[in-house]
Amino acid sequence: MRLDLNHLDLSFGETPVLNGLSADPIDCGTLALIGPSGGGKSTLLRVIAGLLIPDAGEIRLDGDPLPKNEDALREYRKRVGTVFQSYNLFLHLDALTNLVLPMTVVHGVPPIEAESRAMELLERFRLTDHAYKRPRELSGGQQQRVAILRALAIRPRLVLLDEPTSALDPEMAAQVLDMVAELADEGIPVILVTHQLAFAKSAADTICFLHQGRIQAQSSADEFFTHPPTEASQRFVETVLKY
Amino acid sequence: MGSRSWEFPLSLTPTNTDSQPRLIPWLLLGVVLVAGLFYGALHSVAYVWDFEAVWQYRQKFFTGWWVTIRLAAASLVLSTLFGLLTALARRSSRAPLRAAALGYVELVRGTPLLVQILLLYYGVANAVGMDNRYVAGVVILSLFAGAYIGEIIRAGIESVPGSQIESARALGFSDVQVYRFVILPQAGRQVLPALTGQFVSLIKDSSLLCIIGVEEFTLSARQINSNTYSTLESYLPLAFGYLLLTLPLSLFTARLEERLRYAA
Ligand SMILES: Nc1ncnc2c1ncn2[C@@H]1O[C@H](COP(=O)(O)OP(=O)(O)O)[C@@H](O)[C@H]1O
Ligand SMILES: [Mg+2]
Repeated sequence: MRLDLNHLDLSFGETPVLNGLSADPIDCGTLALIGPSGGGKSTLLRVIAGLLIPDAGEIRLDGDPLPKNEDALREYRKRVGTVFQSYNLFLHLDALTNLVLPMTVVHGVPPIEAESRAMELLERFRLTDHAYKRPRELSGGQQQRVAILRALAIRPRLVLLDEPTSALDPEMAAQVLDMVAELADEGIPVILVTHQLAFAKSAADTICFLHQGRIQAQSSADEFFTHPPTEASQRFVETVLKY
Repeated sequence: MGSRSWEFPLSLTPTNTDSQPRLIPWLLLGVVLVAGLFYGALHSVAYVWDFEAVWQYRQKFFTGWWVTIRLAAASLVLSTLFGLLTALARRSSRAPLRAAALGYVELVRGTPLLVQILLLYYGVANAVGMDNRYVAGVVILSLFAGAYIGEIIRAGIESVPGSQIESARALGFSDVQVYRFVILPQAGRQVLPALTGQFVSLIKDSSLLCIIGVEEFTLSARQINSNTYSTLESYLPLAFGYLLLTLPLSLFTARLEERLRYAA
């Protein structure tokens, strides 16, 4: 994936959240966004997902600028898989239907084919037993894994994950992260917001450190954790890794 | 028996609230008690029952009852439509639409149905040449119920968590698809009990249409009453006829609420 972020501004009312955010051209498989709470990570991810339109600036994905009108943006969103912190799955539908619905409704896949594709995915990630359960009957970890599969089922060009494990206990989080690592291994481009620095280190190629609405540090994962590029990023890494 | 201690009837400790199987016996008991009370009261004033005259008019009762059913069914469909449109208008991004919907809801909720029927029938319906009183009645009743149903549906829509809508948008659902596949199915489950409750009211409220000469159940009973010089003999079947329509709906609501409580 190639990603260019140029001078992005975005405010909610009077509060600026992205402040002329720019990055060096990013060209990698997995990008991790880290940084303190309120730094703008989720907002940036929503902008990349095509859910928020920045007030100014430009984003290019693989060279193409992101559209700025709602109709074109909707076309763009169809090819991006987004998974939020929690409560992603449609609560009134079982796991299988959660996977099938976007395929049939948004992508026009015939129902029979959609169902077999969904079943295949569930099987591959050992979730077949849960195919006919509603979200409330699934554990948090199972919910997030199904949500990731739903994002995969539409064959996205890019998968965005916003702290997908922050609401999970360590064991469930590990299961979800295993799955994310598998996506990365398969060459599906991933942008991941996470507080799990150990995971960012092992799974991501590039790290961007977001602070006060800007990317304040950016480097390869290996380098980032051995020599944090800026003082703020060094302090952040030290604080998070302290315990 | 003696080993069971007394429990405060409104206790918050979880007890078996599986009220479904017990609802019908209690209802029957209620009916018997009310009937007994009636019987006692009338006995003391030496009321002489005479169903003979009223029985002659059984066909008229039935015709009126059937009109009420058709009025209520038509109003049920139309008021749901009005309610849905009102709810959507209340959530519209266009301010004038929101204001209009709010004005409609407040006007309807702030005035008695009786006044609305008189004003809309003798004022508006006549002016626009809607001279079929049955059609006018259905429209007026639907306008009335539509305001309440709109608020019920709106509350249901607003109960759908924002994360559900954002997830759907992120997947590329259009606004219409978000409503059709996510918001309305989820809101629907939420509002169904309140909605059936509103339909029970609708059936009962249709009785007020008798004042504009719609020959529904209540008007039939009143005509029979004046033709036969009877009193209770024509009004008791009236109450029974309404219960026959509303009780199944109420039971259905109770069951729905039960199901929703345990639904995964
Ligand atoms: N919808 C919103 N309306 C108003 N303010 C918001 C909204 N979303 C986020 N913010 C504000 O934007 C800032 C950045 O939030 P966010 O992007 O969620 O940060 P992060 O994900 O890094 O914790 C925060 O101060 C937050 O309060
Ligand atoms: Mg966040």
